[in-house]
Amino acid sequence: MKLRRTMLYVPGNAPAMLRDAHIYGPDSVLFDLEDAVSPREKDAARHLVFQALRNYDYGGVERVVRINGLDTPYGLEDIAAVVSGGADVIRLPKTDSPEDIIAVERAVEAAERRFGRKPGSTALMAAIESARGILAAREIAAASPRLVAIAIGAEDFVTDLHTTRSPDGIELLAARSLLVMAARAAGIMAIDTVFTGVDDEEGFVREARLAKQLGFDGKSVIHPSQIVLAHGVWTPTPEELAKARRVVAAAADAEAKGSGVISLDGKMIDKPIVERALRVMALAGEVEA
Amino acid sequence: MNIVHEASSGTNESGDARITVSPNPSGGLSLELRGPSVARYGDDIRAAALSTLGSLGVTDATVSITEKGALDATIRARLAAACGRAADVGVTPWEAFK
Repeated sequence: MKLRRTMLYVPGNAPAMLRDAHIYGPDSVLFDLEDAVSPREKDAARHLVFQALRNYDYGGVERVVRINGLDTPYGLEDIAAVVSGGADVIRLPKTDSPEDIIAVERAVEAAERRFGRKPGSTALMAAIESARGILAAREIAAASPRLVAIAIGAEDFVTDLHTTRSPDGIELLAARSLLVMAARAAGIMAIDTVFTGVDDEEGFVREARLAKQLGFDGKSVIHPSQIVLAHGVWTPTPEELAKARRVVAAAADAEAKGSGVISLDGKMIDKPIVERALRVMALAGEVEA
Repeated sequence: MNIVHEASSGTNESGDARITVSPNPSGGLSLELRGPSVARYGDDIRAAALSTLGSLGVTDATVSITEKGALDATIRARLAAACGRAADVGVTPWEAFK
């Protein structure tokens, strides 16, 4: 299973950071051509990201690029640069409708043909950052077979909702839950929003735990120090892993005996419990999900 | 790509380069390199610059590169951006880069 516990934002116009992004061990790096880059530097950032994709070895770390929307003067040229450079995933910001995804999918298809890249080789991810987008999350998540994940962008979302972010995140609860359900219904991943308090480790871990409990697969992060914290939240403890192994072993044993009933320590084990145990083992890298 | 006016790209920060491209009235390519890595890697920087100019079809230009430990990929990116700006070309021929 491809893990996406952490997706590290890297400003597209910062050459030294583009080079070193992967050394902190995120599951994915996220080169940003959108909000981190001023309008007059969009062209320069595009060239830097293109060259980084072409020339740097990220050691198998997934390379995601956040492009500008197709409703801006930059979106189409971003797609050309990023597909030509060979990005693994294109992340579309401010996705409000399935039509936004379909338009990007068409542009990516055309770029793959233009640059002789394998059709379908560029995956997509959609960030949803508005009430309209959250209410269309189900359709957005199912809009393209290229989609591997949907993400929530909280800063724009709470602004759209006429509120602000609070420490417990109550204002995001419904949106986060809807987003996770939409992702699960479409069989793709759900990625939580960034936590902007870089020095607030306790706050970050609290938010990451909440996201994990709600069902998210990981979190976008804005500082390397947040990577180890998030991995700590999403990686099973040795106890959880040991229990999961025993559940899966009991299920295998029951199947070998032709028994429909699985029991462990005198308790009956249901199919959902086996599924959860397999997921724990997948998060630990022990089995395919 | 036809260089029509002076334009720059990049910064003076560590790991970056500041590159200025301007028309060369006498024709051909004139390359000026400055920076801490030039003594050791000047040939590599020059080769990266010439290959980028070749990819973009820039045959007449004065190019000034001030690098602060920039890798070849950064030199290529900064030069390509400066050329696009100096030629007033908004769409890059990405397939031209090898």
